[in-house]
Amino acid sequence: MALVRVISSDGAAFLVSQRLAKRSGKLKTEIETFRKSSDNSEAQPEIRIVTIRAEILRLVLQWLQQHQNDPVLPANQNEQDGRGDAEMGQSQWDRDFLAPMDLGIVMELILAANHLEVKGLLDITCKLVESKITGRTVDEIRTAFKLKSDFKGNEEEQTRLENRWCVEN
Amino acid sequence: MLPPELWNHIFQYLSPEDLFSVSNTCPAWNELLEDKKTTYLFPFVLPLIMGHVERKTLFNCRSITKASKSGFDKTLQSFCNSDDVNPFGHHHEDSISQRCLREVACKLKRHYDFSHVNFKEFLQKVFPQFSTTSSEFNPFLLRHMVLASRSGDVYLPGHHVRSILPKFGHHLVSLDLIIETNSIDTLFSRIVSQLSLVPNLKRLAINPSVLQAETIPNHLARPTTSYNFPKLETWFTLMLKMFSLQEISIVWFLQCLKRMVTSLLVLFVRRPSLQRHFCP
Repeated sequence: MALVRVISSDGAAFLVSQRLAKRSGKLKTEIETFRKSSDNSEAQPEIRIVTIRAEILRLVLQWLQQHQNDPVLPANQNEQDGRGDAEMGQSQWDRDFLAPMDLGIVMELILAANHLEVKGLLDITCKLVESKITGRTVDEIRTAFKLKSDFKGNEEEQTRLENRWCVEN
Repeated sequence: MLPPELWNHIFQYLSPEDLFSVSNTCPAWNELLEDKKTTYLFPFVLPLIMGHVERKTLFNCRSITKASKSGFDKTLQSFCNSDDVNPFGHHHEDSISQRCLREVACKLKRHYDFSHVNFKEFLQKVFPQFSTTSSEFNPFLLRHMVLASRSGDVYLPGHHVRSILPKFGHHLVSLDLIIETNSIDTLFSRIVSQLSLVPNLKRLAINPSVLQAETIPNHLARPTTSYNFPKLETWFTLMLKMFSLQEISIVWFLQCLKRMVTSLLVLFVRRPSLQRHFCP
């Protein structure tokens, strides 16, 4: 079985099958680039990912492993289908997978899934973070994400006026 | 290795982008930043999840922090500047804060590929009113407005123009006037009288649907009053569409304007002799 070494930003190496790695659009492109540039077709590709640390990379690979037999979702699906798939794909396993994670880890997963082009994972993680925003007030969102308002004077009031224009029209 | 509290002190001076790099560097630093993760990742994650959030709450995201506000506006503007939505090639200029945000985005882009995220489809779905055919533009976000008028009186659905332009006119960079009129003199005098309300205007499109091209008596062809033209420093594009008006009125109008306008698009002018009066 052909393997590929995927190395995280903090130097941990993961040895995964190329079949599994190719379920990420980004890794697939990288493997193909490596093939073209390498003379030896038997050589094992090595891919360094500078923006994903080991803990997150492990989670992504774990998710890929679990979903390795799902049909690959095209990246540029229209919104309606994308949403339908996300709901369909949210299995009990996914829920258990995401349940123990901190919000910060989930946000890192979103960036990683986006970078590695793993649509299914991107969908379920985005949905989780979305649930912390939809239907909440501004202050509740700030508390959930530990954000502080950096508006000065009446800037916030001004923004609120602008928003009202959009929402009421 | 410095003690953790010193590192924490150093980290508070770093930008979100740098903090992201720091947490990716080694597990020890990552642990130090564990608490702040949601704070500094929020501006990066917001554009990705915008497609999932319902419209009403989405606007709340503008009021959270400056970063979230400019991220939101930037996304919307890039959508509005796209060729599908904006066939005239008019582009909104970035404000300084947006330019800063774009630099951050560019830096981040070196590591991340955001290009396949399809904001356009999402925005078209969530904000159907931002298509070009609709008159409901938001002057704050798009710097653009469509004003329709009937029988010479300019109004925006739901708001009278006299209350709109004095309040919000300085936000506008682009203005579409759709005017139903049968008096050319009134039409131009009305436009001129309101130009001072839109000092930042860069693009003006006048699209008169003339009900009936009535013959204007000769003494009316030249305007009877002299208008004070406001000085619009930045104005550069004027579009006149579907004109079948009396030649002399347009010539007068253009001659007053030609010092300011640097590009002109006249569609369907029936008098070719007009061209010699206007040299850009």
